[in-house]
Amino acid sequence: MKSPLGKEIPMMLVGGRTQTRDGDAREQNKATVRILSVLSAFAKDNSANGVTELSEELGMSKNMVYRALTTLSELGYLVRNDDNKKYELGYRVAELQNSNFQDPDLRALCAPYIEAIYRLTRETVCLSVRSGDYIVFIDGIETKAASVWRLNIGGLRPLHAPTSSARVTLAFLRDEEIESYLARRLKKLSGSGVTDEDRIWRDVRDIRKRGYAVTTRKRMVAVAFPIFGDDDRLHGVIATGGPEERSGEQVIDAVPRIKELVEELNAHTKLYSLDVTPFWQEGEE
Amino acid sequence: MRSAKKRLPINSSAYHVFDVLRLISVAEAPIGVGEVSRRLDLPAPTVHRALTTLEESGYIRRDASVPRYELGLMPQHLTRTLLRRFALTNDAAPIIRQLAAETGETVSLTVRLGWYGLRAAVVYGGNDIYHRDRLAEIDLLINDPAGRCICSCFSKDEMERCRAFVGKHHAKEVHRPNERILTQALKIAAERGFLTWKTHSSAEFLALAFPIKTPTGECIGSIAMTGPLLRASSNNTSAPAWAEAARVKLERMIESAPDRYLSPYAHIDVDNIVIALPRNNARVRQEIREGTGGV
Repeated sequence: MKSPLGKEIPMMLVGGRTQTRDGDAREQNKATVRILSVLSAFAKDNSANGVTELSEELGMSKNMVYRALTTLSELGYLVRNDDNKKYELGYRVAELQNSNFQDPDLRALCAPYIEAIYRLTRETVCLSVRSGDYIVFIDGIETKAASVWRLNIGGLRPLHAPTSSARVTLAFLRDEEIESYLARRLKKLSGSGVTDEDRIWRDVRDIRKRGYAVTTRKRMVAVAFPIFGDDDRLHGVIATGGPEERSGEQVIDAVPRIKELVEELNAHTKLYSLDVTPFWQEGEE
Repeated sequence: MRSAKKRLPINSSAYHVFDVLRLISVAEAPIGVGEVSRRLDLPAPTVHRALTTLEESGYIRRDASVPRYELGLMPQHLTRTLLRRFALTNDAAPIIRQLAAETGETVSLTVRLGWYGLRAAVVYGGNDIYHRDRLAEIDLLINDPAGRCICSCFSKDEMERCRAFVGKHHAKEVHRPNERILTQALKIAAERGFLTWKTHSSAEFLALAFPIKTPTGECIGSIAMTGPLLRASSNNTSAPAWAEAARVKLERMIESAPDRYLSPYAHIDVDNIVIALPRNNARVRQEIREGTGGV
């Protein structure tokens, strides 16, 4: 496919009316899409790239990649490293930010995904974050069915509570943090019967391996997924579930799709440092 | 903004697309086809195509309900990757986090990029009033305290070059502080090894920033702690122990692998690194001026 893209400039100025001009515009647009996708390839870390690597990675002709690299370097979005002849991300991408808009908070980022998960399971969906030794539910949607998992916004659960949101929160702490937490908390609650330390560690390992939690207890089924921030620390948990009899299969069947949604959400949340320095760190370490 | 018409026509549609993207980056609010077309003096169909292309590629986004566009995720990914190209961004993170936890104030790392400072890492303080230093914010070194702290390490020649560069490329954008006061402030900062300034939160207390140097004495960045940390009435000839400890820790880290911490753009002449500054920097600068910031 040899399209002399450079020659059709005048039609851009006239504004395409005839068939040929529209065709030219489409051609040029395709070229522009390719240029953007070459730039996007540099969003990965350590992506010093040459023409050959990029043309393989993006499935474009070397000529096209070369043109794109030249255009992007001319614009300053890429720079060429003379030492190894490779292209690198340029400092001018720093111009592509707009500080007139505030970084969204966790609730704003999660809201459309909570909605989408609710549409999949038709069961209660809730978003929780950690607050010291507890998790607190900060947002969600409660199902309209008769027998429901209560969405208790503002409600607290201790980190070792058997609820799936708390388990996921615990699982993504460091081992030392879990140990110190359990040592601190379980003593106080001894005799209450809910504090099976081995069980907690088994769940933690299971969740880490799987990447999310599936919990069945008291005829209720729930799945809970971690939400990460820019430094890969846990910022919150999204969980959904309901009575096993009604929603068991539905919830479990939706897991692959929820997983995709949560991955997409994480691509958003990982751009932000969503928390301030947590106050509980002061006396903890 | 550079004109699209002067350029070589490799692919004019690509240039339009980037002009549109740049315009959306500096817009005060999300904008639609009409406004883009008016402000760039381009025909509406061209603008429409550019917007569609940019949206499909993730560079801009819009609410489904309103046909107005703002920056999308891809530019943010690119900016974050840019920040990570500076090894300090990752490596200094634990130290910054610790400083923020100890002080409860916002602590940030600014790396030097030519005659600009780029805020490469930020940890917000846990105190009720915290200072919002934006991640990836870019400004001239002489414009804000974190950058001025880097300036305080410059030789007289370097400072001259810095001023000449600003005069040449950013004559209109710079908030020119009283030269005598600035020179004096930089001199004091050079002697003490740290810079203090008044913030909005308190007239009696000062915020502070210290430079990060390589073993050869070159300044590659600075750590700014924006909050009421030092009593203005006391003499402050030496930095607080916790700040000093952090500085020593950082410089030891750099000493162990100096090449790792060189700027990824060290191969480019500093005078050739020219960046268009975001428009609302002016507002931030106004705040700094009111707070007598940086000097």
